[in-house]
Amino acid sequence: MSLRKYLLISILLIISTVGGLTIWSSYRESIYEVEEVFDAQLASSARMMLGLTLTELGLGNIQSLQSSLMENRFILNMDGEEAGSDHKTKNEQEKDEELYEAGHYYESKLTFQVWDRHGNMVLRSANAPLQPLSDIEQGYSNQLINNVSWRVFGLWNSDRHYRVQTAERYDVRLELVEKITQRLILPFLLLLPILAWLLWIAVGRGLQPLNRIADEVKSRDENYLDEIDESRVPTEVQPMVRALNRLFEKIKYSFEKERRFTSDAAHELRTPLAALKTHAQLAQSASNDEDRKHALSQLNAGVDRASHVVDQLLALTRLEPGANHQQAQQMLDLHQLCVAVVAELIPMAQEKNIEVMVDDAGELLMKGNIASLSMLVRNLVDNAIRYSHENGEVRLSFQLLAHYIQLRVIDDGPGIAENERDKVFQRFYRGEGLQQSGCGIGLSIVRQIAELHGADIQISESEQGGLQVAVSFPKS
Amino acid sequence: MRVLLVEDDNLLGDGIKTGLQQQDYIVEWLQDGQAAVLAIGHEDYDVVVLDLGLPKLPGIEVLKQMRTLGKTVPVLILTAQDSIDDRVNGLDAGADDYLTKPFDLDELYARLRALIRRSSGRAEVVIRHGDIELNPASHQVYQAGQLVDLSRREFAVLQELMENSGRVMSRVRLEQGLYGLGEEVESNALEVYVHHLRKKLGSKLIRTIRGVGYMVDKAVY
Repeated sequence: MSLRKYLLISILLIISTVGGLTIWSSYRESIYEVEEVFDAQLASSARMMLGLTLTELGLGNIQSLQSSLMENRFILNMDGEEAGSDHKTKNEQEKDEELYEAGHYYESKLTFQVWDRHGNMVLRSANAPLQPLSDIEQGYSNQLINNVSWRVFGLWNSDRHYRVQTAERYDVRLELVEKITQRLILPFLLLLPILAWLLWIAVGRGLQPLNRIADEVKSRDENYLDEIDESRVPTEVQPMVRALNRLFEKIKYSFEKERRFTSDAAHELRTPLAALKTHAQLAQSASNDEDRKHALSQLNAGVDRASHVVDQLLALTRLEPGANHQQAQQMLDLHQLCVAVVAELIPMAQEKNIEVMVDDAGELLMKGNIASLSMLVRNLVDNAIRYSHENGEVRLSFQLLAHYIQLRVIDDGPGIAENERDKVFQRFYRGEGLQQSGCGIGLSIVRQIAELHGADIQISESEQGGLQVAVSFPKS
Repeated sequence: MRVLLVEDDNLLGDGIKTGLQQQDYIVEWLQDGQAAVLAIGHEDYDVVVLDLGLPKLPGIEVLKQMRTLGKTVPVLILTAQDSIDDRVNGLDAGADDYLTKPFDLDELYARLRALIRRSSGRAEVVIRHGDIELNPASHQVYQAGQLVDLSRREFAVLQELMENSGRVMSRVRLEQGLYGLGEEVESNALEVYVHHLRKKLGSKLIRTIRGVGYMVDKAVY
């Protein structure tokens, strides 16, 4: 649907309707006015005729008046035929027009009769019939004579001795109204196409900003997502431009995030790869068994490291908002789940002689996804063991609050400085843990999983000065 | 030659350190940016290998700070980001060369040799003094076209002196070039190596500056 066409058509329709109504009401108005004027004229000529007849009767000149009336060559008789010839040729019509000074062709459309009170005709116009024009003796009436509609006015003189009837063909009036109406319709019809053309241009110009915005948007791609200048667009289009700009901003942000992720991921993968290559080359060039053995064992550790990074990256990508993850939720016992995860990590804890304790809490039923919640707990406990001191202690405790089930993982490691606590959830952020081989994704994964479960995470200092991570799951 | 290696990754750091030690470098390995800035401020290194992604202080900041301190030691940066921007930023911040991870150890060795050679103002690969030619890449010394058999420590002392010909090298500096910071140095070890070098290459090459150290005269051709 073209906005331009729609606007043009609707504006033209409105103008035509309003114009049509105006013309129609003028038409009605002119009919009324014309009736008034003509009726008045009919009456005044009747009065004049009556006066004239009475005067002529008194002077005894009535016969000569009658004969001068009959000489009018413009008069057609009542049957619609001209007094002289049957039909007028075009030439004769032109001749008639030359004779306008002597009278008018329209005179045939006017007629009159004068009667005395005994019903005898005293005087008549040349085209008047011998019978009375109307049975109505006084006042206006409409009469059909020889299939032509006439307007008749009858008038008695004051002592009711004579009466006059004047009549006028009705079509004279209609013709005038038609002419007036035509004069109104014609310019309107002539102006309509010009109006349409002007409107087409004006609407096109009005819509130009839209085309310009379209061109501007077309010129954008993922590398060029600058804002469209809002000040240069009409007020009506500003909300759209504003929305577009917000969309650009979002796209730019997510591209930027994607770019940063790729670059961070590259760093996290390339470093273990560099280590692998280095140790592989050292193993090749080793001059003794001991060096070769060391290099090979480091190579082994490097492969573990690299695959851990890949696993974590994949886990994070799967948890990304918008990723098509099937996070089927089911009822589970959080306590049971924690016990199972801790059991897996006991060997790692024993390497540093760390004691991992899970507080007894009975059944803690909640709704969630077992796989991802296990990953959350594993990442938290793994971190706690990694950063705890040798011979240290890691503790998992639970708390049932009004609306939450809270899991707390507490270690006695160095903790996280207050100003760093927000940053640790960023991907690839690595804090002070110098000797640790984490890749900085673990807590991002934890946060992502927590978000999927509607849970809230809080990092604080534990009573022993270590780190306490509290995850509050909403009770289902 | 003393190298400062700044790399936070345990595995990679261990690998580079081992490799450089096999090339007879004395390697000091640090794992965070702050420690690196401190060490560069207090110790003399011949070259620094610097990872850009470091805890506490990013590599770029380490570079900027050490250059502000007026340290001209050549720096090779290790970067996992292969975008041109990263390399340009690194070089603009004061790095002399870069390697993208993962890299080849041999390339690392070659680039470090080139950096040391350039920083001592030589264009040539070998260091010449009279009829003596020292090749840092192959660890070989020729006198009048004849290969001279030197131990690794003897070679290290000779290289340090020839690289800095015309300057007196203190005993401490030479001893540091022989051993890592933590290692015990026997009090007369340096004299023993100098004695051996004089026996093999002639007594005129290395001059003793009493109470200070040793020097090789600026080569005159």
